[in-house]
Amino acid sequence: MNISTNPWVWFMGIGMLCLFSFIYKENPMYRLFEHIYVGASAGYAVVVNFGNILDRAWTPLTTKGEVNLIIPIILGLLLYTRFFKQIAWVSRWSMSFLVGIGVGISTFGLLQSQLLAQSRAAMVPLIVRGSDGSFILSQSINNIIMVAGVLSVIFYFFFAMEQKGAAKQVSGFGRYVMMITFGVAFGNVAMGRLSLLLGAMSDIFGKWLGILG
Amino acid sequence: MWQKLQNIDRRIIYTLLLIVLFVPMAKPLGIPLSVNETTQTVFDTIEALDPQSDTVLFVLDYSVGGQADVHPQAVAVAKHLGRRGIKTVMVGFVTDGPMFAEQIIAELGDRFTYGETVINLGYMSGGETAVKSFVEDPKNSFENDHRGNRVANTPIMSGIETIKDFSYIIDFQTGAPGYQDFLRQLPAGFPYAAGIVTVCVPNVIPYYNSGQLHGLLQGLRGAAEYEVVLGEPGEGAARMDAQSMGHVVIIAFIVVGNLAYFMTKRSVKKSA
Repeated sequence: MNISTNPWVWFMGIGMLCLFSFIYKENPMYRLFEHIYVGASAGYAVVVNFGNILDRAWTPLTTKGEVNLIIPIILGLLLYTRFFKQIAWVSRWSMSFLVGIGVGISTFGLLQSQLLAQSRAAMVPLIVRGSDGSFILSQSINNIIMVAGVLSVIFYFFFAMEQKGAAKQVSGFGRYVMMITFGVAFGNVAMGRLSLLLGAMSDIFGKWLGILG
Repeated sequence: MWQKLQNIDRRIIYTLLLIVLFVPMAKPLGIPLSVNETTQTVFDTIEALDPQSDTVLFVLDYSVGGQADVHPQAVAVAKHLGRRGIKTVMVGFVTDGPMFAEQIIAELGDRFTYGETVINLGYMSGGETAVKSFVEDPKNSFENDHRGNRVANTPIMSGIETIKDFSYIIDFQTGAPGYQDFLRQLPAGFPYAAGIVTVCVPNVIPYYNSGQLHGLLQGLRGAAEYEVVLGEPGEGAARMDAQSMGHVVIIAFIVVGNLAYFMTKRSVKKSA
């Protein structure tokens, strides 16, 4: 056992224990460290972003005379008019600009990377043959399941016709495919949360208390 | 009894889980770990890089909340890059990024020479806009690095003019900006890999299968796999036994809960 002598590690360890105390029940120490965490995160973000504004806008404007930077600075400042009721509407200009830029820069890439490339990836041969012409069973089964899954799930959300008979069977298969997907997602959530817990335990028992090797 | 098993106090579950997780952490069981193709691809790509001519863009887009899942991946890949002497340019599009970059450089200081084989450019605000701006002009995106050195004076950045001067981009992320922003902004087919949190794996796998991602590290398991392939077991590998045992407990509770549900239903039917 090799307990840390670093006061910040002690602060971290005590903080984690206080936050974990919520598992038992809500208490003032949990609240205290929850607020410290939120405050520290917000404070860090403010400092880093303020530094970014200085480096990327203020300094080039004042030392290099890059006057075109006045436009984003003014638009940024206008965002704060929302705190003044009478001129709050002015902040919408900046917001519109931000939304317009955001949509503009992402739309083209979105079509390419998320719609076309993904659609192309779903167009696979159902009978896969190797370079020597031999039939590859496993890959063929994978592709058939994938294509059947994609089509049936899309069909599940096809509301232009009443789903009965064969159509109902197809959309029913789509529903099962989605349920399996949700199961996979749940499994990954459980695994992810365990990873976070293990990280915290590693900090408490390893870095702080020095129990782990 | 079945009724009781349906309402197990959560504190009992948590306590049992803590005990089961702690034991393998203190005394590893050595459960064998297979390596996914997604991880192997990242390793093979880095292994094939040339230390003389290749530079890797190492993006740290994860926050403190998800670091337990992603930070071990970043450390493992940085160890590999450092061991091979590949030039590594670190950058962050989330505020916590530069802090983690400094942690990694401090931890692996003996493998890198700051300014020559590694640099921490710092944080660039703006989300996807910032990603686009950096992709369009990486050379002029940062005047000074995170430590205040002039970027233009560093040897590592002397060969960087456009994004195509990076041989590989690996982006460790917990959310946005992340793989979607990069895939939208990078030239199509650019060698780009992602290190993601476990929760996101089902959403990201289709991008690996479509060939848009050139490698994928999947949460803590991805880190453990990378450490195994690298031959340098670290934080990730040390936690995998505990992770596996944790899964056993969760599966056991799910089975018991379902069994109790059906048995209760059966006994209600019988008594009716």
